Amino acid sequence: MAHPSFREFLRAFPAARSLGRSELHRLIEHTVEVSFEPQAVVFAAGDDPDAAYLIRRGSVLVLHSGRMDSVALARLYRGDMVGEMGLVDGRPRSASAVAEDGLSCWRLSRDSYASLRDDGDPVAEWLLGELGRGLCERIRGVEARIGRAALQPAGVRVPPRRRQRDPRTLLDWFRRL
Amino acid sequence: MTEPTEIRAPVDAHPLLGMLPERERDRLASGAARLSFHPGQAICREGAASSSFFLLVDGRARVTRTRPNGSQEQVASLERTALFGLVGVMDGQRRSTTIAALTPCVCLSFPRGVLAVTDGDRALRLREILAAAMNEQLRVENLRLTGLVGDRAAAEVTLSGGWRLPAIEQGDA
Repeated sequence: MAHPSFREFLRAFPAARSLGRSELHRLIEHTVEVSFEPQAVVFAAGDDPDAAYLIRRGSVLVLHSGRMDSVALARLYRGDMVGEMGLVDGRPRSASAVAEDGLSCWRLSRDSYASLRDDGDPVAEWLLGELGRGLCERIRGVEARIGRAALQPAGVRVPPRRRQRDPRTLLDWFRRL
Repeated sequence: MTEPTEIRAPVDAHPLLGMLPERERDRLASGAARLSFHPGQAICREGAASSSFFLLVDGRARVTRTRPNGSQEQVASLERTALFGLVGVMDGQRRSTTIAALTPCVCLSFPRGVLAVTDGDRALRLREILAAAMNEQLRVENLRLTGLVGDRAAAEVTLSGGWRLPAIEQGDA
């Protein structure tokens, strides 16, 4: 079972610098590195939610499947989490996640999160904070696309590749240098 | 004058907030205000500062966003039990949508300060519940986006909570 080093994890998730060393160690110990080939399905809509995936390298498309085709809802990169609602929400996956290129993630199981949460571990609070941050970004992103979509021809589906980083996250990171 | 039960009862009966420990529900209710809105009145406006989040106790509301050409695009509809205004109080940014009453509405307004919980276990529980509420919002908005840019027929999914696809697409007047 391969665990990331502190440095490697913090490179991908600089916000984790807010955790103490022992807390970071516990978080890392609860993850397992998993890899996906390009176009591989990380999870599919309707699957039981059993884990969250912290993206170490590569990118993921989150897709919603309609009756006729799929729409890309989000594109996620290193430092993002995908499937994180599986940690707190027991409902089946509402969307699918597909590796866009060679994808490497750290997988955190629902059971591991529950263990951290039941222990009142600060790691669980950090995870929830990241989950909340991701939800806010994704909601704002979808709302912005809704505002533009009605003016665009059908077929313009894929979110822009250029990633807009949260300036707050960057500012927090700089403050810790 | 608002009776305490008029605030506490909707919190206790809410499918998500009702799962909080009683002490936490006490704290939420103690800081809340009960507000009424007439049809067409804005509950919160796009671009405004985000100082509180809301629980729709009664009535229906419409969520809209300004298109690049200045017209309004419907994002979703809200029904009883919808929690909204959470994104702005969570990330500190301005409102991304306008929410206006479609029918006479009654809301509970919670100041953003209720999120500043220091007790570890209470913080976790509250954050999980608010995450679940935001996830419900995201589910509906993803469906809305899918309907706009992909499959024009609304996907048949089971929606819980008070967030719904825009009323206009469901044939409502």
